[in-house]
Amino acid sequence: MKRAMALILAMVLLLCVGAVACAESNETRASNYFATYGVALSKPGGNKINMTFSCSCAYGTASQIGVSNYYVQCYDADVARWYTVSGPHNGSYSYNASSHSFAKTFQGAAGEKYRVKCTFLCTKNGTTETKSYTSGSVTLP
Amino acid sequence: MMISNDERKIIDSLANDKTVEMKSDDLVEMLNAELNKPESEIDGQLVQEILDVLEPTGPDPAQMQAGWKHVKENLPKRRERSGWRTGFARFAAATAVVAIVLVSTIEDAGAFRWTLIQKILKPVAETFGIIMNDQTDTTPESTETTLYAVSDAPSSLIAYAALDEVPDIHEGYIIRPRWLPEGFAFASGSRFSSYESEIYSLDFTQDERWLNLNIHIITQDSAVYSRKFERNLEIPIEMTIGQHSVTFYSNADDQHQSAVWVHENAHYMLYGELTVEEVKQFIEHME
Repeated sequence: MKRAMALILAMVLLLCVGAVACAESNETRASNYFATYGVALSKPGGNKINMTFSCSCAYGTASQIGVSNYYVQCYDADVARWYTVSGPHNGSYSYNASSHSFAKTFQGAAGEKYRVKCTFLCTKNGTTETKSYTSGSVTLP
Repeated sequence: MMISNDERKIIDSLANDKTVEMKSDDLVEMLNAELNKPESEIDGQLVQEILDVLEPTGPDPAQMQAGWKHVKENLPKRRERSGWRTGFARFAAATAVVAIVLVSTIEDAGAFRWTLIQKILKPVAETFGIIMNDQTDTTPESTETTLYAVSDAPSSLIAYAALDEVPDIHEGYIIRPRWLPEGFAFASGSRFSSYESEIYSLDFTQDERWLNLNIHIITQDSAVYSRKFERNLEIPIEMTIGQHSVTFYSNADDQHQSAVWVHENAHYMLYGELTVEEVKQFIEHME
């Protein structure tokens, strides 16, 4: 009798844990710091890639907002894998602002596909949140 | 009185011959014999030479032994350590020294740009998570033909101090809001321009309430552009407001609303402490 009760209670406990896990997974995870962030890539010519980083914070201004670091990756079609060719580089920040943007130029090689990976950072009320981001890709002609 | 050559030879041989044991007693006897002579007959030179030979050059063995014993007794006591502790302490000290030398060398190499040293120590630095200065430099000196070089792109930033300074329309896209919720006033604004982007950011406030309009215009059709939105949201709502198809996010916990819509090559993002009706009215006036 005691063993049966212990088994039943253990199963009830497991079910409770599973229910909480489901609730956690359904709840939308979002940021109280960032409103939006992203990178635009373009090809100005000369095998160059222009990268424009931009982000904005939610609910007012941030004491610090911008990009902490970024690096450029090239796609190796032979092994179907991205590998870093440049970076990590320091990004840039705005202080006591609601948004930040900056642009960089990357010298690539003709025929190669590139993308950017970076870390956006936002600090409000002494707390910092970072978000990793991977851009779309561009192929140089 | 001059000493004879024989006497001089005896004295020199006794003084210089290291194999012959010094018979100082004979010399003392000779010295006493000379000193017992009448004063006028004493050979001062002989006396002096005998005295030079007899001059002690150092302590005798008994005195040396006594001296060493005294020194030994007064040496500071050293605590005997067990063998393994001594070995461990020496190993730890050596390791600490090596680590300090490595770290300082790595940092010095970065500071003084010792390229060869940086290349040699780079694996060690990466193993211990030490970021060398050259790894985080923003832009290495490069020419246009240096592959994988990164440099500043041509761009400009304009800050707006008043809403009147904000363009009404940019390349056919409405920038300046035509309607604001009651009590909201312009706080700050900026325009960032790069090769493929025109980014406007306008902030409005009403006491503690806050509203931001972000407009990202892509000016190059071939540009690749993507954005992520991080917002507390419950159920995103797709609605048509005026001629715009708007994705609308509402946070029921507070009065924070978010709305994003796309018009041709312009991406509009509205965030703020507004009611749903205020958001709709704002967007309707952006046509």
